[in-house]
Amino acid sequence: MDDYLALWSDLLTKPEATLSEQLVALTRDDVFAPLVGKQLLLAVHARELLGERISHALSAANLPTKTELAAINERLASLEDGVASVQAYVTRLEKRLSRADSVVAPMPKRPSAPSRTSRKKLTGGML
Amino acid sequence: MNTVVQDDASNPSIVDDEVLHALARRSLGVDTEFVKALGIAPTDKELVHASGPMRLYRYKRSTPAVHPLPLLFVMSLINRYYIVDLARGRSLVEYLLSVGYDVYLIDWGRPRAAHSRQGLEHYVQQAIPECMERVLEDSGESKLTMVSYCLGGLLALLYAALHPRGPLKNLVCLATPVNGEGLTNLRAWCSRSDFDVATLIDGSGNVPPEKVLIAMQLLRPLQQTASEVTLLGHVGDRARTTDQLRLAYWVGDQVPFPGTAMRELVQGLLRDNDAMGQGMKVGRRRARLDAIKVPVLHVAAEHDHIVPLASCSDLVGRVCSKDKQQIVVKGGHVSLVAGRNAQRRLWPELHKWLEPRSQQRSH
Repeated sequence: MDDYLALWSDLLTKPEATLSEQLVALTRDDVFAPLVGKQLLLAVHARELLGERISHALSAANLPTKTELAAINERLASLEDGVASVQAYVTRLEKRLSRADSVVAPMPKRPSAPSRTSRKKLTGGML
Repeated sequence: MNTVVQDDASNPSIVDDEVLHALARRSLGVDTEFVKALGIAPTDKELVHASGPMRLYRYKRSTPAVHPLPLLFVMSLINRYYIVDLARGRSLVEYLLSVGYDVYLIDWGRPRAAHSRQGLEHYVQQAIPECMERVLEDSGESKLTMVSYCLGGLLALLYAALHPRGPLKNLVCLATPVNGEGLTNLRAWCSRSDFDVATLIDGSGNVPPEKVLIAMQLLRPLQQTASEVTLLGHVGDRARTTDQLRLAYWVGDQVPFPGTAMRELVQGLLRDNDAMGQGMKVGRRRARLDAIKVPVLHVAAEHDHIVPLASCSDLVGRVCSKDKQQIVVKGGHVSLVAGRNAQRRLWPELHKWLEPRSQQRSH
C-alpha cells in the first residue's frame, strides 16, 4: 500500500516544477496575458454586484453587513494600534528610568562613627 | 471562534479576510489555538515602537549580546513577519540570538483603509528611519545592520540609497528583486497597457490578501497540490508534517497590500524597471542603487520562482560598495530562510558574514 502511495506521490510531485513552468509559460503569451486583466475586471464587477445583493438581504434581515463589520474591524484595530503605542511608550519609559537609576550617584553614606581609639584619645584629652 | 480563523486562513474566499479578523481578532492576529499548537513565533519579544499597524519588536536575550551592532529585520509588505521565527529550532531569530546578536524586527502588520495611501515614501522615508531611531535609542548604539527579506529588501535598498550618511552600517538582502525584467510572469501580466492596477484594489483601497495569494500561486500553479500530496506521504512523521503545516499556514496568512505602494511597485519595478536605470521613485526623489556604499550581502535561492535569480542577481553589481558579496544557495523563496535546509545553508553563511562586521563598537 505504501509503495503505491509513494509511486502515486512521485508521479504527481516529481514533474511538478516542469509542468508548472509549462503552464505559466502559457499564461505569458499574447492570448492569455490580456485575459488576466479582463478576468480581473469581470471579477471586480461580479463581486460588487454580489456584495450589493448580499448587503440588501442582510439589511432586510436586520443583520450587520460586510461594510458594517469592516467598520467595526477598523475601530477595533485602531484601538489596538492605540494600545500598542501606549504599551511601547511605557516600555520605553521603564527602560529610561532603569537606566537613569543605574547612573544616578549613590546616596551619600551616613558619616561613619569615629573609631574607638580616637574617641578614647579625645576622652583622655578632656579629662 | 479561533478555530474558524485557522481553517479559513488558507481558504480566504469563503468569508472575507477582514470580516474573519474582525470576528476572531486577537492582538497579533496569529494568537489562535491552531497557531499555539503549531508553536509559531515562539521567541519572546517586547514591543519597542508602534505606529498604525506597524510594530517594532526587540527579541529578548537572556545574556548580553556578544556582537554590539544590533540587527534590524525589515520584512516584506505582503507576508507576516514570523517566517524568520517559525518555531523552536526552526527560527532564524532564535539562531541569531544564540550566536550573540541583539535582534529587532519590523512587522508591517495588516494595513487597513486608513493606510491605503501609504506608498514607498512612507515606508522608506518615515517608517524605517523612525524604527532605526528607536533601535539605536533602545540599544544605545549609533549604527546598526539591516537584514531584509523579499520586498523588505527593496525597501531597505531604497533607504540605503537615499540615506548614505545614515546610521546603517551593513545591509543584508535575502531574495530581493531589483530587475523587473527578471520577474517575467508578473511583468507579462501587469505591464500590459490594457491591465488596470485598480482592478486589484478593493473598497479599502488595498489589494486584498486573497488576490496576493492567487498571484503567488499562479507563479507555480501545481506547487500547492504537490506539497499536499507530499504531506499525505509523510503523514506518520509528526515532525515533518508539523514543519510543512507551519509553512502552509504562513503561505496562507497573507496581508493586504497597501494600494499606493502596489501602484508604485507595478509602475516602478515591473513596467519601468527603474531600479536598474534612473532609480526607483520615492516621493519626489529617485533612489539609485549606485548611491549605496555600505557593505552589502545578497543571498539568492537557486530555484526561487517568486524572486527568480534573473530578477535579483544584478543587485550586487549595481551597488557601489567596496565590500559586497552575493551567495546563491539551493532551494526556493521560502526554504531560503525557513526550514531544515535554511538551517544548513543560509544561517551559518549569514553569521559568517555578519560576525566580522558586527564587532566594532560604533561609538
